Formats: sequence, C-alpha cells, structure tokens
Amino acid sequence: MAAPTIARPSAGTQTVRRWVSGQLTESELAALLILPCFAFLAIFAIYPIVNAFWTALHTLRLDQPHLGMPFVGLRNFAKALGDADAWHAIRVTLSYTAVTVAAQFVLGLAIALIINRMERGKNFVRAAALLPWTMAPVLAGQMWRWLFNDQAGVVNDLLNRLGLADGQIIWLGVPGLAFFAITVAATWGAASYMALILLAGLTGIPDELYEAASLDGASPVRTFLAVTLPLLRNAIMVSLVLRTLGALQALDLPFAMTGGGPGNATETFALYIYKNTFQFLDFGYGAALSVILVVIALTFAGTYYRVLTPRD
Amino acid sequence: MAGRGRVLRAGHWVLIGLVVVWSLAPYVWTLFTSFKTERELYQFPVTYWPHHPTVVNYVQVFTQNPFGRFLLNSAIVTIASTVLCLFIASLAAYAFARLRFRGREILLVGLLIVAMIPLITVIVPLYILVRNLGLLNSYLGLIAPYITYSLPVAIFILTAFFREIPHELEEAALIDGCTRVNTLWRIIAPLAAPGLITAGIIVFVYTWNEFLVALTLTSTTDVRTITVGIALYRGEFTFPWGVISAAVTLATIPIMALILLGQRLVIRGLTAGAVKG
Repeated sequence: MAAPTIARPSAGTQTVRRWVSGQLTESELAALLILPCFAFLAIFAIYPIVNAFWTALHTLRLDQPHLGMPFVGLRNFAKALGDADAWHAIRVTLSYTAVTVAAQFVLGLAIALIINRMERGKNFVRAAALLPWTMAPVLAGQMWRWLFNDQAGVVNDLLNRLGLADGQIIWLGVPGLAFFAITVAATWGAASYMALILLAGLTGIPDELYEAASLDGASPVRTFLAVTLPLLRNAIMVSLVLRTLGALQALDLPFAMTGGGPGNATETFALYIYKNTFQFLDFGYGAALSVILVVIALTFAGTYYRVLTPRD
Repeated sequence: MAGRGRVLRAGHWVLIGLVVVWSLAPYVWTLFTSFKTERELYQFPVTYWPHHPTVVNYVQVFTQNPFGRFLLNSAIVTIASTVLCLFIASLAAYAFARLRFRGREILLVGLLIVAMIPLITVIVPLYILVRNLGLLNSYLGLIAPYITYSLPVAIFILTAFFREIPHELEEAALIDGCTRVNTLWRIIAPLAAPGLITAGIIVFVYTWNEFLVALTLTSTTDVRTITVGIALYRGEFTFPWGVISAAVTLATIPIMALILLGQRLVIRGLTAGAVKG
C-alpha cells in the first residue's frame, strides 16, 4: 500500500485512502457520506427542536432577564389552555386550513383535469399554472393587498364593472372579508402546486381503463368516481398532507397582507406565536405554543395517513 | 354529434383560458402598477394599461432604497446555500440509494420528521444558537440554516433519481479498476445531472422565497434579503405601491426565468414522490 518511509498515517487519512482505493465496507462508506448532512441536521434542526420542547417547560422572558430561566413544568401549557387569544388563533388557523386546502384541492383537481385533456400548448399552460406557486408567499401577500385595495384595487373595479358590487368594498378592513381575501390569495398561491401533483397522478392512469369504462357504457361522472379518483389516491394524499402542513403554519402571507388584522381577525396561530415571542419577548410561552402547533400538525399528518392509506 | 364535439372543445378552450388568466392576471396587474405614476395609481376610475408609463419606480428601487442591496444579498445567500446543499445532499442521497447499512430506515424517517416540523417552532432556539455563534446579521448565519432545512427535500429528490441509474454501470466501472471517486465523478455525476438540476431549482426557489428565518436572523440592511426588505418597506406618507410593485416584479424575475427554463425537470421533481407514493 503506502510507502513505508512515511510516518504512520492517522486513522482519518487511512479511512480516506481506503475509500479512494475502494476498500471501505459499505457501512463505513455510508457513515462517511452521511456525516456532513447529519452534522447540519443535528446542529440546526434537531438541537433547536429539542431545545424548543425544553424551553417550553421554563419561564424565559427576554424583557425580564432578572427572572433567569426557572423550570415551571407544564405551567406554560396551562396558560395556553386559558388563553382566549390562543384559542382564537387556533380557530382562525383551523378555518383557514379547512377553507384553503379544500379550495386548493377542488381548484387544483379542476386545473389538472383541464390540462390533462390538452393536446396542443400543454407545456405553456402548465408553466403558467406553476408560476403562482413560485412566488414568495410574503410577496404574494403584498401583491394581493394591492389587488384588494378598496380605492384603487382591481378586485373592486372588476366587481363594479361586472355589476356584482356597487361602490368600494373595504376588503381588508372587515373581519369576515379580510379572512376571505387571505384565503383567496392562499388558494391562488397553492392550487397550482396541487394541480401539478394531481396532473402527474392523472398522467399515470393507463388509457385502457378509460376505454374499458366507456365500452361498459359508464357515464363520465361514474368513470371519474370509479376510475380516476381511486387511482389518484397517492397523489391526493401527498398533496393534501403537504398543503395542510403548509396551511397550519401559515405566517408569511397574513403577515404581509393583513398583519393579522383587522383586530386579530386573521391572526393565525403561527402569527400569534411570532407575536408572543418577538413582540412580547415571552420565549417560554412562545415555545409552549409552538409545541402545541407541532402536535396539531403531526395529528393531521397521522390522520390523513390512516384515512387515505389502503387497508390490505 | 360533430356539433356537440365542437361545443365541448370550445368549452375546454374557455376553461384553459380561465386557468391562464387566473394564474397570470395578478402578475400582469403588478407589472402595470410598477409602470404607473403615483398620481395614476389612485386615479378614478381605475386604469389598467398605464396611460403615462414611467420607469420612475424602478429608478427609485435602486436609488432611494436599498433594494439593489437586498437583491444582491438574496442572490449570494441563495446561490451559496443551493450549491452547498446539493453537494451535501448528493453524498447522503448516494448512500441512501446505493448502500446497505444499519439505521438506514430510521434516518429516512428522521428526515421526514425534520421536514414536517414547523419553522416557527425552531426559530427561537435557532435565533439563540446563531446569536451565540456570533453569526447574527451575517451571510453564513443564513446560509447554514437554509442548507439544513433544504436537505430533506433535496435528499428525497436525489435519492429517487440516483435509484434510476442502473447499478450495472457502476459495477462494471468498479470491476474495470475504476476507483470509487472516479466512478462517482465519471459515471454517476453525468447521469445524475437532471436530478441535481431539479433539486437545485426547487431548493433555490424555497431559499429565495424564505421569509421567517431571514426576518429573525437579520436586523441590518447589509445582509437583509429581498423578501424581508419588501415586507418591511413602508413609505413616508402614503404606501408606495408603485415602488413595491417594481420591487416585487424584480424579485420575481429570477425565479420565473429559472422555472421556465427547467419546467419539465421541476415538475418531475415535485411529483417524484407523489406518483410512487
């Protein structure tokens, strides 16, 4: 192997040399290849997660450093149970999630079906449909805030021209309307993403199945229910899980579009956590709230998995 | 029958038109806004095509505001994060796709869980960690977390791509006396190029668009990225929608270009997991 005159090489050099000459075992090689990735995850993901759970059990207020960081057990969680604003934010988040994910799914499925039947120009339409997903939610929020502007916004102008509204609707100044406006913006941003995942699922369904269904005289609706939907199950599950997890932690878009207002009508749970942490500087309480968000997110993911996975 | 077919086809084209309008109209409105004067913005009735097109908003983006700096910061942070993330992820993905080792499944599940944890949960510990490392308001302080949070998605995409590369090619090269490094460089890398581009574009888009981490870990304009810059921008008297629209347009162009160039690869990457389940 190496020249014997050189002083004994260190273990590290030896490992590298054995890798170059292909003498490492598979496990050793795997460990070596995964090491950098694992180092980053350990420092910047796993440690912060564990730390958040730990902080949630303490009082930690940056505005009152003299308090130190005393252990308080589950007191932060007990506080959350009695916090009306927290419950309000959870309700806003759950409604936001239900409305946006449902709208994104219906619209995404419609877009996927429309594009799937195209012959010419498919690439162009698919690229156009993909674009909204690529816009930063925080920029989309700014953009939609301008579209929904009561005086100079295009939404009011179009509604007036079509005769659907008379005068200027103050979209972002009325609780229900503001909520509606942010769900429209969120649906715009993510329906296309949903559509692309569903479109890939549609492309994977063999034509023979449709031919067989039409030979059997099945109506389009029946074909859709009996052939298309069951075969899309995987695509539907993946897209629903991803969009639900996204909606549950929505922060950027309401932050930019309404700032949670008017009042706290569109204050999502993530926004409320952000406020408690970075405005009230109550890190312990913020951490406890964010642990609750993790539990909610994992519950949703688990439920989808159980409901939508085929039982053998 | 033929008449009914024609009606159906016309209806289909109408629906296609609606999809395109729904997707692109907000962009078009923003683009129009960016070329309007302050006065025309609030003119009644609302104008669509700018009557007095002006580039004053674009000039303002660069002269009276640090948006140019924000764009540069975004470019530096995003490019560095994407390149480093791809390098680290491809090493791990190679191991997941090709090698048998203990703990493989557990590691993959771990990656999935890391990918599901809300950013808002890790943001405070991350803030304290980065502060203690002395990396607040530095490029490195943003790049390291960005690499980390993009690793799961990059590894999933690359693993799927690496699995499709025929094993035999690699074995033949090894038998022919090619070293592992050479095999990786000469055989795997060229075949993995589409996968690397796909993962690269997706990581680039996520990183360029990221807001919460950038908002929390930067407080000076020196390192602030474009998403935070635009979100925190307030005018002196009225809300400067013209300038905002110009900045949004400029911030969107790099992503648009990337997506239009690599559309096929992006869609393949986005859907790789979904179709196989």
